[in-house]
Amino acid sequence: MQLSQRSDQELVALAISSSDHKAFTSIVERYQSLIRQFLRRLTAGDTAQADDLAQDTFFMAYQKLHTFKGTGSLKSWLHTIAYRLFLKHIQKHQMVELGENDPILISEPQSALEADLLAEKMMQRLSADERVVMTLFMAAEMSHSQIVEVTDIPLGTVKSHIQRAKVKLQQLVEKSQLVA
Amino acid sequence: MLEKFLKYHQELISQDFVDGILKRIEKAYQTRLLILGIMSFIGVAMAVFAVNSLMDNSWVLSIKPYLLESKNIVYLALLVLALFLTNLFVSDNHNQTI
Repeated sequence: MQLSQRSDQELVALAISSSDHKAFTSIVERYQSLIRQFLRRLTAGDTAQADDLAQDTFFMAYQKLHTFKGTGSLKSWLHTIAYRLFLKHIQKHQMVELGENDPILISEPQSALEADLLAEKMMQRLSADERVVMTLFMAAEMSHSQIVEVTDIPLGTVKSHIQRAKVKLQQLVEKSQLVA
Repeated sequence: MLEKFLKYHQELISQDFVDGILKRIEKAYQTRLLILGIMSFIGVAMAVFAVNSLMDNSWVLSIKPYLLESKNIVYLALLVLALFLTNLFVSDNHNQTI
């Protein structure tokens, strides 16, 4: 059976037990897009920083793979590491954040690249907590309980962050349509 | 409406990204091996020296006059080296504790 066809649990077991890195490479290949996209949203489009954090995420995952218990999903576990690295990063570096009245030009994206760039730009309007819950909910398609698992934020707070972020972004979209 | 804006639109697949991670893993592995090797060498050297010091006809006795002068410096250097390597090892582990 090819590595790409194996389950996450099987790949983790193989990566821990074997001396070569083939199984872990498969894990990186499987989740690189999700984690890189997640961090691009959190950094609001700082692609270089996002990719550095994504590299750190997988490097740390490799070092800590033996601690992965398999009670949750590998996807959640990787997102948890990425989120914690992001929190550590913003303790030292200023996060790009726009005020309520700072304008963002929203036009109909013509390509997937433009659509992602726009989504990253929209994240600048949100706080760090709002960015993470909104991205996990809307883009990574996680349930509320999975978001709690990743972020350790209480369920009620997760729901209120999502609600507040939705209002902020809805206002942003409406404003930009008025401008257009 | 927001779902349409906020979903992931691209698949970010890059072999360079994967290769970068594998290089870091390999480098960290080599660093750990190096630290382990040096620490083992220091440990074995100290053990040999200690055992020889207890013997009457030891080669240590013949070099003792020379050794006494520089003994403290050697001990200090070994201590600093061991502390440095331990710090390197611990900080490597600490970086992984998030």
